[in-house]
Amino acid sequence: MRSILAVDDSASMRQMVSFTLRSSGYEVIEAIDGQDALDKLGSREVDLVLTDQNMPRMDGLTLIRQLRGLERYKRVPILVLTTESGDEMKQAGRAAGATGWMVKPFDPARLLEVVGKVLPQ
Amino acid sequence: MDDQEAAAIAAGLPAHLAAQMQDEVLSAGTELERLERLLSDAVDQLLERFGRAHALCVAVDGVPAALREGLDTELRGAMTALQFQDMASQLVVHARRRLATVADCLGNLAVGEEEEGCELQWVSRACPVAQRAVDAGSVELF
Repeated sequence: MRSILAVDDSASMRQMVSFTLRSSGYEVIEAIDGQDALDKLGSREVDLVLTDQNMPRMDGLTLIRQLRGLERYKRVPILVLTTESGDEMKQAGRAAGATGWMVKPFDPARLLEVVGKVLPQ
Repeated sequence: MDDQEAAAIAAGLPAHLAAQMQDEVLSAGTELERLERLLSDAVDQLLERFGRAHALCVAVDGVPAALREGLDTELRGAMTALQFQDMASQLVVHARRRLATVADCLGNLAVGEEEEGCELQWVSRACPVAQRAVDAGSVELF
């Protein structure tokens, strides 16, 4: 089963993302911010990371930079799911190593389509 | 209004008026906090109920495929719409931060600590939520 780490400080967003992904057969691990995500990834590996940008303790772009610095996460797809829609922020995400940028609110069918597209076959 | 104009206006306020305004601003902040909690609670309950309804639909045999598909479509639409709470929460938090800045400043004026007006540490960054509706957002793959 493919596993996805969903990182968001909003409990309702984590619930909606998890429900969407689990109902399509993915295993979902949840983290409440970037630091929590790093802690959880210390003890296990995932096939994809889906992260919010604005979070306490550690934001999404910092998380991406940290993960891209780790050998085992150099090529793992990382999607950003955020309310941030400005080009400047998107380019910062791209420079940090994000695989894609999704602006909230998400459409569950579209999220599954994008996840299926970026996950390695 | 820029920082200098705001500081000049604030510096001209009588202390008792600054104190009253601070109370009003703090109350507005508290009310926004309550609104945020109410929204969060409402969305938690809605999500739970939608989840149960979906589970019931999946569990019951003999539901026509067209009905099941229709329910899934409606549930997905509801899930997109329910994300308003995340955006509303971010807007409320940002507005509360701005109100807290103004309240601090008024508090200083009320106790006469800032005769020349207060140093305003404005919340400089615009709120990241620019959406005006809950239509699904854009997707860009790099």
